Amino acid sequence: MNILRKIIKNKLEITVLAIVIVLALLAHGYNMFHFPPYFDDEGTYMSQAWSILNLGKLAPYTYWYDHAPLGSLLIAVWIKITGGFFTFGNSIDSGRVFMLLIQLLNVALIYKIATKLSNKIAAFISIILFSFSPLSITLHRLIFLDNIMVFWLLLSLYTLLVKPLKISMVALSAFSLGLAALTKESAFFFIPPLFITLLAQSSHKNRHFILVKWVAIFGGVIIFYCLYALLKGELLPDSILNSSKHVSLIETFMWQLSRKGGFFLDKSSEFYYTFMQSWLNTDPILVIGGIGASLMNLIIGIKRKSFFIVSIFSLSYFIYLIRGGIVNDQYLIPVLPLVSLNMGLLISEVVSMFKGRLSILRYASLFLIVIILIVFYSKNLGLYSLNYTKNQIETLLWLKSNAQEKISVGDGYGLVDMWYGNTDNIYEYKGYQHYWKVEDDPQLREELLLNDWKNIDYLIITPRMQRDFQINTFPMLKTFLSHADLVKTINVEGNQEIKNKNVLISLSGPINIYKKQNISKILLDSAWAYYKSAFIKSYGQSVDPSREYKTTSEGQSYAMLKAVFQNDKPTFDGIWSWTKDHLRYRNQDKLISWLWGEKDGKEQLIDSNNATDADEDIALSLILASNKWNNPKYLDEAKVLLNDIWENAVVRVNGKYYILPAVNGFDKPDGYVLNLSYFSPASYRVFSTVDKIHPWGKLADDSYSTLEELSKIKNNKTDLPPNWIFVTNDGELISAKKYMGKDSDNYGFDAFRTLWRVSLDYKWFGEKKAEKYLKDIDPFFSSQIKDNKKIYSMYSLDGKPIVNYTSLSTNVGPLSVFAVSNSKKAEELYNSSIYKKFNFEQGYWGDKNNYFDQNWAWFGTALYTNSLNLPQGILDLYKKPLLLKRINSNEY
Amino acid sequence: MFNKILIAFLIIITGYISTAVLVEAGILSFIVLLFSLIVLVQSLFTLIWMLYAWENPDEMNLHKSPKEFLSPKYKFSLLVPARYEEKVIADTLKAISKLNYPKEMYEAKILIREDDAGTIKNAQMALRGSEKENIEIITFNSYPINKPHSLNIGLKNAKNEIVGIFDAEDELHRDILQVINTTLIRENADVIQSGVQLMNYKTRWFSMLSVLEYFFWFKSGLLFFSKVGKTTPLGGNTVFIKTSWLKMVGGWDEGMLTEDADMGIRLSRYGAKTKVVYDELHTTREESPVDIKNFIRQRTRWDQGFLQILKKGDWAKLPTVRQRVFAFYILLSPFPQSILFAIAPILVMIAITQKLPVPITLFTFLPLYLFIIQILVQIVASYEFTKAYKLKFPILTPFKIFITFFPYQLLLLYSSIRSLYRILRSQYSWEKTSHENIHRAESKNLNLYEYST
Repeated sequence: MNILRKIIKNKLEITVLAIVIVLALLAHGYNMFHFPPYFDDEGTYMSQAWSILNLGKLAPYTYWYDHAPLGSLLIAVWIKITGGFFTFGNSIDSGRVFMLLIQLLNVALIYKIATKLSNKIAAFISIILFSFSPLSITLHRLIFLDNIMVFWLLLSLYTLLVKPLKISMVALSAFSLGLAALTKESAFFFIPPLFITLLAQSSHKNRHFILVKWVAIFGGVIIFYCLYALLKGELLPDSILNSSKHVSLIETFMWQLSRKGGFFLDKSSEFYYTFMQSWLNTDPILVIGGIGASLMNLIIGIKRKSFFIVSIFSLSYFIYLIRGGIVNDQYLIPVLPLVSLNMGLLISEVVSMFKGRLSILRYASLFLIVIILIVFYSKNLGLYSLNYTKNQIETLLWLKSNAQEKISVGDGYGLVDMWYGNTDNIYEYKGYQHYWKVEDDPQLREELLLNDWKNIDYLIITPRMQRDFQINTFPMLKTFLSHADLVKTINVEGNQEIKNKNVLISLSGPINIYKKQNISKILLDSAWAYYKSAFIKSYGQSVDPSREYKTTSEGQSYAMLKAVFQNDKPTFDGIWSWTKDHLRYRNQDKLISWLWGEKDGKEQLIDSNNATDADEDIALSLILASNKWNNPKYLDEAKVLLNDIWENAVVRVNGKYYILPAVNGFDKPDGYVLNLSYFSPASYRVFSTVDKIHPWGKLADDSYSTLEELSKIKNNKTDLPPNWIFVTNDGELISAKKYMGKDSDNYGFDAFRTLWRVSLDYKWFGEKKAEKYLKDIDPFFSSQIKDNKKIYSMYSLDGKPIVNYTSLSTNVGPLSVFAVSNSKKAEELYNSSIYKKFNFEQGYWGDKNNYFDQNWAWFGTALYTNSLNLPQGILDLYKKPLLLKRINSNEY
Repeated sequence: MFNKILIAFLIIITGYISTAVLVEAGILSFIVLLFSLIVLVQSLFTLIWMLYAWENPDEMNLHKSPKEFLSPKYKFSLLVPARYEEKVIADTLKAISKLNYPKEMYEAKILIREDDAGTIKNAQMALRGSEKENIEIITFNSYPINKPHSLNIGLKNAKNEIVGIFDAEDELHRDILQVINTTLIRENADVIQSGVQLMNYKTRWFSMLSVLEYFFWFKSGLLFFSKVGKTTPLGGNTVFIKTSWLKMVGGWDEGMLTEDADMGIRLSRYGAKTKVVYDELHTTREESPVDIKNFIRQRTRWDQGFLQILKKGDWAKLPTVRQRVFAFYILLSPFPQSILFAIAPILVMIAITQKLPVPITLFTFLPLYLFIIQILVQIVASYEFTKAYKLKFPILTPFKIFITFFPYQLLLLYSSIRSLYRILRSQYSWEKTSHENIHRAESKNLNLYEYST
């Protein structure tokens, strides 16, 4: 009955309170899933809750005491009670509903505290400011540990205000403060004001017991947190323990204290920036009014205890903020209820000066305050209408359908949603990982990524990460980015504007998804980058360190081929210009002289003779370049070269065309010396599309005919081509030993290139002869692998190894064979003999100074990984030569 | 309603956690956790009743003596059983004769067994030649030889409506009957227990803790158990009971080693209204045992007496469940505190050596931490005690308490085990504690104990 009577008596208060609280919850809750954008930290806390529920650990990654554990534990309990992470939408949404609950509790506590300290008017003003300030709504909607900490803090304060101050209440207060500290360490800075409140509120009759209880219980909570760390061996820093690297509570705590943000009045300090940019901008009323009221209340507090208490709470925290440490947006959260209380108390005090006949003014002024607030706060209606989480949600959907089972790296908001269904340890989980952890958690780097950025598949760059990438180094992820392609930009939010942009809100915007390039592309890219730095002078001269830094036309041709395949036009142009300027001085033709270098103390042309393979390859690269960069100038230059090659270096013997190694020196009285590795049928087919005058097609066919013939001679048990051969004037193929020495008859450092060139013909044009030729060789190489586990660099044609070593370049020979005949063997050979020798950090294979190896490992890899693409246009031209018939058709 | 929901909630949580622990961490973890929980609850509960008197500063005066006395209304019969108290009996009689209460409204019965000639002689000498006509020495020869028997003889001879009990060695305050008279009138109580306080806090290393035990028990514990538990185990003296109630319950049980506590339970059973008064000004001062041997004997008797009452089973007939639970707890209380005290470090050791999960290991530390809080509270209480009695607070006291707390617990543990042993061997003989009049010697130096007029 008593209670009922009381309720009726307080009907007005209860009705108004109910309305205010409902409005407060609406203001907080309406549109809270869409505004502000999901913040990285929110995801971190949710992931910790996930970890507690799924892994039984405080954090999915190594817990290093950076966030006190209680907040995540409470969220975990909330998730458990409400039936999972996705009860209210995605995981962040579910956490934000918890924040709504916390908001309700905090509003209630502020109301009670203000009532205890002053009166109902103060209480209402306080909760109105606390609930409707756009700044507090923004910060309160976010899953921040500070919000939970505020609850414990307010509870701790409230319990001290209950009169008479009982020991059990003091115990509750101390315990709450302990929990506040276990939620967020900044609670420590409220110890002085709470202690002063305790002294002010306690009776002399039991003060000693109260103090002991308060200290013992608060201390106990902290001691047990330290004990927890101690039991895990993670309390003391390494420097004291002198042990191996591990996390440490004390170390983390000291680190956090040591983070510098700059002197608060300094415009570049963190405090100044956050204060002006974020807080003041969003809600000057609460920020300026709050500080002003706190200072005023300190003066009033000289005589009035309750004003003193609220004032020191607020001011001591501001002292903490300006101490010169790091200051983020959310650092304002603990002070929001305090400035609201200060303003509430002060305003109520001022308006209650209107007494008696003037009491009408009291209500008028209160009404006015509410109007002012409505007018001011209605500038920020974006809180209730903007959708800033759409991009983020869309990104997760995209990832779920495109990057399952892939390791993608992004910011915290996506963690739990992307982990759904995961039961693995996070260090083995091929899914979504946090960008800071990828960079900083040694265990994650070692166990999941194997210390190799190439094991990352996707990088999702949110606006928040973009900002971090500007400030911090992120060596691993930035390396990844330089080898990744933008595959998707998610921007479904459209152009939404909000007037007062604080830092949190500015973290909305389009999200870019980068996908790691093909591993072979990455490899070839970095190899090319290294090659350029090691072997090509900036103006386009390639040099061979093993040949006293001489330049060969072959080196220039290799570089031009690689440049065009790498789509590196500047380098290509540089090499080609240098080549033209230095190596093209022959009177009779425009072919390229083969050797340049130091002679008689001076850099000059050493030998003006050409090397036909280099001319062929340069012509090929020019044709490809003209096609790739759509520039007919290259094509014209190619045509000149082709004409001169044919006219000067192709001979016809007994009805068959042969290409000579050079214009001079290989035409002997009894016939011609030939190098089989200069036979390049794929190039000839390309030449045939641009040079209709010369029968390049026939040269290609004749080349095969020569190769076939050689594989059939009596003592060739391997079907391999020799390095050199001699064609007599009668067209008979005999040993070139007489002119070229003892290795002429062997397969080796020249001949392996033949296999590569033939293989290229198959890859580009699907040439049947190429396929057959290589498949015939397969058995020999296969048997070598079976017997010797490797393929030596040189063999006699009857199959005997000439040397007992193997080398990078010659392995390209068998690789070119297997690439056509047996993909499994090709993979094994490639991985064991070439890929394994690649240094990704530096970009070279094996011996970094070996010019020949670096070139041929590149060509071999490019061939094997199908990275040498013949432009479709050339293939079309080859397959369907322009027919005059078409010109005469109806189109005319 | 709220309490029931809270209890139901706690039970669900506990059930959930224990199942989880059992399944996830195994049986050993579960057992360790269970024991830690029991120790924890016990320690918490102990802390709560120890500090109950200080809980609410506004209510602290309610349990003090009245500031002004109402005019005498009730007549008292004071029973003073004495055995081998020849050293102190004269002082006691002098104190009784000087009580500030109309002579015609109180009588004293000094109850001495005939075989104790020394005490009889000294008592008679003390009575001679003074105005002590309301004091009577009653001698008797019957069995058993124990305090309840003496009291029952006294009760037979008591003529007044209120029976008060004092021990021969007690130093009672001059105004005590005024205090009781006023409280009886105001509170309409059937039973009043006034504070008893050991005073010789400096004699032995264990004296301070023993003194504090009395301090907590009479100032806080009795208050807590009578107010919250509706059950009061009465003390052995300075207790005042309406004669009609005593006769109704049939006097003291002569088979009991702690007849006082037994009486408390029985009176509670029949619904007597008990009021506890503790005022430093009016407490009855006693002395703690002079040496460890006597201390252990006294403790053993108390512990054994409590077990005896438990065995007797009156507590199970108390009207409400709450009373039964509290009575059970009180009667068993010598055991949990000391035994659990011994268990707590073992639990920690098991947890660490067996590498139990960190949260469980952490939990085993909680009871230990509560023991530390108990020590801190003892230290504060030692200060409060000396302040209240205007005694000197030796500067090393906190340190001393810190050092002696654990050995003292071992003494208690030993006594409780000994009592258990004696119960099992059915040894019920009365091991009387000897008194050396030290408390008087110590307080003689102080002005505090002046008899005010």
